[in-house]
Amino acid sequence: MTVVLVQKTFVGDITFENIGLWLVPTTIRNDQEGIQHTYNLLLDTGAERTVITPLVKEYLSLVEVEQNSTTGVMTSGISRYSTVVVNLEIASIPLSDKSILVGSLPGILSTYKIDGLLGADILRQLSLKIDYPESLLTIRRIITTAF
Amino acid sequence: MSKLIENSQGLKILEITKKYPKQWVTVEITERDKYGFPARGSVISSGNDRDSIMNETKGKKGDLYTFYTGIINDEAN
Repeated sequence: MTVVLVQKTFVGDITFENIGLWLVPTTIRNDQEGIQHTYNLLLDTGAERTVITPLVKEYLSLVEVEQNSTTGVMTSGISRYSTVVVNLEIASIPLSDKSILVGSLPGILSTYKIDGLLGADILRQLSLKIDYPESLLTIRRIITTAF
Repeated sequence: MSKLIENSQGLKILEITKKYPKQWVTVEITERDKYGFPARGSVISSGNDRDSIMNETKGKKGDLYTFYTGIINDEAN
């Protein structure tokens, strides 16, 4: 069993200091193409699923494994989403073979200058400590290795 | 309209947000912090149009990071 713990301070982060939202730099990999890119995903405990925009899918040349797989899963708005399978990294925390959605962000989030949402499907695998007074986000993952 | 910028000197991410205010930037990460988050980078593209930034850097290999330097609900674009 391995415990990976990462921390990010949001002191000086203009979005955090003005509207109190946590943007998590998340690396998305397409290992088949040898491409990776880090994007700011909005930590959204109100979203059931993790979503990336079609622009990110195109940039990383991700291949859909399912089209129009989900409709209206977010807290606001109704959208259609396809599915891709990717390897993610939040700092040094690996999240392999994750099925995430591709589509326009719902409601007001579609006007935000972000590339996606980190939703409960990913967050439920992590232990999060959100410390507003200290502007500090702590993320921990326990990785169990089968022998 | 976006523009390509050559900059071999890595800046802290917060310095980049101040030097390139209210725009999209793509940086090549030159240093990660002890946890693995991007800490410093060299700006390779910046501008107000998200699509243009993407097109300019598409196909470029490396440890790249794209983000908006203003408040994310900023209306100005």
